[in-house]
Amino acid sequence: MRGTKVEAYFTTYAPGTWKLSIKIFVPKAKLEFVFEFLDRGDLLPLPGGRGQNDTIFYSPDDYCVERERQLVHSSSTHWKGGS
Amino acid sequence: MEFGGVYVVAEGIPTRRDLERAIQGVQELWPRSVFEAPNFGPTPTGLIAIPNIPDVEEFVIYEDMDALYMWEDLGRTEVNADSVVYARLEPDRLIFLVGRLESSIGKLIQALSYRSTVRHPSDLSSHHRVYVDRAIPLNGSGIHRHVAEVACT
Repeated sequence: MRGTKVEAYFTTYAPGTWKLSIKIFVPKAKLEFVFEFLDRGDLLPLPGGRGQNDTIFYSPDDYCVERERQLVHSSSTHWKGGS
Repeated sequence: MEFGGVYVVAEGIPTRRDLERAIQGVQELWPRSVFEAPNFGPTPTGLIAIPNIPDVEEFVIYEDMDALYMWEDLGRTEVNADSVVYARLEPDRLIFLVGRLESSIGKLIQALSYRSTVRHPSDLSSHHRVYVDRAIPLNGSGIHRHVAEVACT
Protein backbone atom coordinates (compact mmCIF):
# COMPACT_ATOMS: atom_id res chain seq x y z
CA MET A 1 0.00 0.00 0.00
CA ARG A 2 1.34 3.39 -0.88
CA GLY A 3 3.04 5.18 1.96
CA THR A 4 3.32 2.09 4.10
CA LYS A 5 6.61 1.78 5.86
CA VAL A 6 8.24 -1.59 6.23
CA GLU A 7 8.18 -2.10 9.97
CA ALA A 8 7.17 -4.86 12.33
CA TYR A 9 3.55 -4.55 13.43
CA PHE A 10 1.80 -6.26 16.30
CA THR A 11 -1.72 -6.36 17.58
CA THR A 12 -3.52 -7.36 20.73
CA TYR A 13 -6.56 -8.34 18.68
CA ALA A 14 -7.23 -12.06 19.00
CA PRO A 15 -7.42 -14.13 15.81
CA GLY A 16 -11.19 -14.43 16.10
CA THR A 17 -11.79 -10.70 16.34
CA TRP A 18 -14.74 -9.50 14.31
CA LYS A 19 -13.55 -8.14 10.93
CA LEU A 20 -9.91 -8.46 11.89
CA SER A 21 -8.62 -8.16 8.33
CA ILE A 22 -10.43 -4.84 7.98
CA LYS A 23 -9.35 -3.54 11.37
CA ILE A 24 -5.70 -4.08 10.59
CA PHE A 25 -6.11 -3.82 6.82
CA VAL A 26 -4.20 -6.90 5.76
CA PRO A 27 -4.82 -9.78 3.36
CA LYS A 28 -6.43 -12.85 4.87
CA ALA A 29 -3.32 -14.81 3.99
CA LYS A 30 -1.39 -12.82 6.57
CA LEU A 31 -3.80 -13.90 9.27
CA GLU A 32 -3.18 -17.58 8.77
CA PHE A 33 -0.75 -17.98 11.64
CA VAL A 34 -0.44 -16.39 15.05
CA PHE A 35 2.62 -15.92 17.23
CA GLU A 36 1.87 -14.86 20.77
CA PHE A 37 4.43 -13.58 23.22
CA LEU A 38 4.75 -11.72 26.49
CA ASP A 39 4.99 -7.98 26.08
CA ARG A 40 7.75 -6.14 27.87
CA GLY A 41 6.44 -2.70 27.10
CA ASP A 42 8.97 -1.73 24.47
CA LEU A 43 6.67 -1.71 21.44
CA LEU A 44 5.38 1.62 20.28
CA PRO A 45 1.63 2.17 19.99
CA LEU A 46 0.41 3.52 16.69
CA PRO A 47 -1.02 6.97 17.22
CA GLY A 48 -4.68 7.76 16.66
CA GLY A 49 -7.68 5.57 16.19
CA ARG A 50 -6.90 2.67 18.47
CA GLY A 51 -9.35 3.70 21.10
CA GLN A 52 -8.68 4.04 24.74
CA ASN A 53 -6.85 0.74 24.84
CA ASP A 54 -4.05 0.50 22.32
CA THR A 55 -4.45 -2.45 20.03
CA ILE A 56 -1.80 -1.99 17.35
CA PHE A 57 1.89 -1.53 17.98
CA TYR A 58 5.01 -1.36 15.89
CA SER A 59 8.74 -1.65 16.02
CA PRO A 60 10.77 0.43 13.57
CA ASP A 61 13.46 -2.25 13.56
CA ASP A 62 13.63 -6.01 13.66
CA TYR A 63 12.09 -7.24 16.88
CA CYS A 64 13.60 -10.12 18.79
CA VAL A 65 11.38 -12.24 21.04
CA GLU A 66 13.49 -14.26 23.42
CA ARG A 67 12.49 -17.86 23.99
CA GLU A 68 11.27 -17.22 27.53
CA ARG A 69 8.70 -14.73 26.25
CA GLN A 70 7.31 -16.96 23.54
CA LEU A 71 3.88 -18.36 24.32
CA VAL A 72 1.94 -19.75 21.38
CA HIS A 73 2.64 -20.22 17.72
CA SER A 74 0.00 -21.99 15.70
CA SER A 75 -2.44 -21.63 12.89
CA SER A 76 -5.04 -19.00 13.72
CA THR A 77 -7.86 -21.52 13.50
CA HIS A 78 -6.25 -23.64 16.21
CA TRP A 79 -5.24 -20.73 18.40
CA LYS A 80 -6.11 -21.26 22.05
CA GLY A 81 -4.00 -18.49 23.43
CA GLY A 82 -4.97 -15.35 25.22
CA SER A 83 -2.94 -16.08 28.31
CA MET B 1 3.18 -7.38 8.39
CA GLU B 2 2.30 -4.29 6.49
CA PHE B 3 -0.25 -2.02 7.98
CA GLY B 4 -2.39 0.16 5.79
CA GLY B 5 -5.42 2.32 6.05
CA VAL B 6 -6.01 5.82 7.27
CA TYR B 7 -7.79 6.76 10.44
CA VAL B 8 -10.13 9.71 10.44
CA VAL B 9 -10.88 10.59 14.02
CA ALA B 10 -13.77 12.92 14.68
CA GLU B 11 -12.94 14.30 18.07
CA GLY B 12 -15.62 15.21 20.53
CA ILE B 13 -18.64 13.39 21.85
CA PRO B 14 -20.23 11.63 18.87
CA THR B 15 -23.93 12.13 18.50
CA ARG B 16 -26.42 9.94 16.77
CA ARG B 17 -26.77 12.68 14.18
CA ASP B 18 -23.05 12.37 13.37
CA LEU B 19 -23.51 8.69 12.79
CA GLU B 20 -26.61 9.12 10.68
CA ARG B 21 -24.90 11.76 8.61
CA ALA B 22 -21.96 9.49 7.94
CA ILE B 23 -24.12 6.55 6.94
CA GLN B 24 -26.27 8.70 4.70
CA GLY B 25 -23.19 10.17 3.07
CA VAL B 26 -21.74 6.75 2.35
CA GLN B 27 -25.06 5.59 1.01
CA GLU B 28 -25.17 8.50 -1.42
CA LEU B 29 -21.68 7.74 -2.64
CA TRP B 30 -22.26 3.99 -2.73
CA PRO B 31 -25.92 3.39 -3.66
CA ARG B 32 -25.48 -0.39 -3.41
CA SER B 33 -23.61 -0.30 -0.13
CA VAL B 34 -24.02 -2.98 2.50
CA PHE B 35 -24.06 -2.36 6.25
CA GLU B 36 -22.82 -4.96 8.72
CA ALA B 37 -22.31 -4.91 12.46
CA PRO B 38 -21.74 -7.55 15.12
CA ASN B 39 -25.00 -9.44 15.50
CA PHE B 40 -26.43 -7.52 12.56
CA GLY B 41 -26.03 -9.40 9.30
CA PRO B 42 -25.18 -7.77 5.99
CA THR B 43 -28.03 -5.52 4.96
CA PRO B 44 -28.30 -3.11 2.06
CA THR B 45 -27.68 0.26 3.62
CA GLY B 46 -30.59 1.70 1.71
CA LEU B 47 -32.97 -0.65 3.48
CA ILE B 48 -31.97 0.48 6.94
CA ALA B 49 -34.21 3.07 8.45
CA ILE B 50 -31.51 5.48 9.50
CA PRO B 51 -33.17 6.62 12.72
CA ASN B 52 -33.48 2.98 13.70
CA ILE B 53 -29.96 1.83 13.03
CA PRO B 54 -28.93 -0.55 15.74
CA ASP B 55 -27.05 0.66 18.74
CA VAL B 56 -23.59 -0.53 17.86
CA GLU B 57 -20.09 0.27 18.90
CA GLU B 58 -18.61 -0.68 15.56
CA PHE B 59 -19.74 -1.44 12.04
CA VAL B 60 -18.53 -1.74 8.48
CA ILE B 61 -20.02 -0.53 5.23
CA TYR B 62 -18.97 -2.19 1.99
CA GLU B 63 -19.33 -0.56 -1.39
CA ASP B 64 -21.51 -3.45 -2.56
CA MET B 65 -21.95 -7.18 -2.10
CA ASP B 66 -19.01 -7.94 -4.37
CA ALA B 67 -16.78 -5.92 -2.08
CA LEU B 68 -18.14 -7.80 0.92
CA TYR B 69 -17.39 -11.16 -0.68
CA MET B 70 -13.89 -10.12 -1.63
CA TRP B 71 -13.08 -8.87 1.85
CA GLU B 72 -14.55 -12.00 3.39
CA ASP B 73 -12.55 -14.28 1.12
CA LEU B 74 -9.27 -12.46 0.72
CA GLY B 75 -9.06 -9.58 3.15
CA ARG B 76 -7.26 -6.59 1.72
CA THR B 77 -6.09 -6.95 -1.88
CA GLU B 78 -4.48 -4.68 -4.43
CA VAL B 79 -7.86 -3.46 -5.58
CA ASN B 80 -10.31 -3.40 -2.71
CA ALA B 81 -8.79 -1.09 -0.11
CA ASP B 82 -11.20 1.69 -1.00
CA SER B 83 -14.33 -0.44 -0.97
CA VAL B 84 -14.93 -0.55 2.76
CA VAL B 85 -15.29 1.78 5.70
CA TYR B 86 -14.86 0.60 9.27
CA ALA B 87 -16.34 2.79 11.98
CA ARG B 88 -16.14 2.69 15.73
CA LEU B 89 -17.95 4.81 18.27
CA GLU B 90 -16.17 5.72 21.45
CA PRO B 91 -17.30 7.96 24.29
CA ASP B 92 -15.30 10.90 23.09
CA ARG B 93 -14.73 10.29 19.42
CA LEU B 94 -15.97 8.67 16.26
CA ILE B 95 -13.33 6.75 14.36
CA PHE B 96 -13.34 5.78 10.70
CA LEU B 97 -10.81 3.61 8.94
CA VAL B 98 -10.56 3.99 5.17
CA GLY B 99 -8.08 2.76 2.60
CA ARG B 100 -6.87 6.06 1.26
CA LEU B 101 -7.77 9.64 1.99
CA GLU B 102 -7.41 10.43 -1.70
CA SER B 103 -10.23 8.07 -2.56
CA SER B 104 -13.79 9.24 -2.91
CA ILE B 105 -14.80 7.51 0.28
CA GLY B 106 -11.78 8.90 2.08
CA LYS B 107 -12.66 12.42 1.06
CA LEU B 108 -16.26 11.88 2.01
CA ILE B 109 -15.48 10.59 5.48
CA GLN B 110 -12.93 13.32 5.91
CA ALA B 111 -15.54 15.91 5.05
CA LEU B 112 -18.20 14.34 7.21
CA SER B 113 -15.91 14.23 10.20
CA TYR B 114 -15.75 17.91 10.81
CA ARG B 115 -13.26 18.92 13.48
CA SER B 116 -11.37 15.73 12.83
CA THR B 117 -7.87 14.45 13.09
CA VAL B 118 -6.50 12.43 10.22
CA ARG B 119 -3.70 10.01 10.81
CA HIS B 120 -1.95 7.54 8.63
CA PRO B 121 -0.75 5.03 11.16
CA SER B 122 2.38 4.12 9.27
CA ASP B 123 3.41 7.64 8.47
CA LEU B 124 4.29 8.77 11.93
CA SER B 125 6.20 11.86 10.94
CA SER B 126 3.59 13.64 8.90
CA HIS B 127 0.46 13.84 10.98
CA HIS B 128 -1.73 16.65 9.99
CA ARG B 129 -4.97 17.93 11.31
CA VAL B 130 -7.92 18.49 9.07
CA TYR B 131 -10.72 20.80 9.94
CA VAL B 132 -14.00 21.29 8.24
CA ASP B 133 -15.65 24.41 9.43
CA ARG B 134 -19.24 23.35 9.34
CA ALA B 135 -21.60 20.54 8.67
CA ILE B 136 -21.64 19.79 4.99
CA PRO B 137 -24.74 19.07 2.95
CA LEU B 138 -24.05 16.23 0.59
CA ASN B 139 -25.65 15.73 -2.74
CA GLY B 140 -23.97 13.73 -5.45
CA SER B 141 -21.54 15.87 -7.36
CA GLY B 142 -21.39 18.37 -4.54
CA ILE B 143 -19.08 16.14 -2.60
CA HIS B 144 -15.90 17.17 -4.37
CA ARG B 145 -16.74 20.84 -4.27
CA HIS B 146 -17.23 20.70 -0.54
CA VAL B 147 -14.17 18.62 0.07
CA ALA B 148 -12.18 21.44 -1.46
CA GLU B 149 -13.17 23.46 1.57
CA VAL B 150 -11.28 21.17 3.88
CA ALA B 151 -8.36 23.06 5.36
CA CYS B 152 -5.19 21.22 6.26
CA THR B 153 -2.87 22.74 8.81
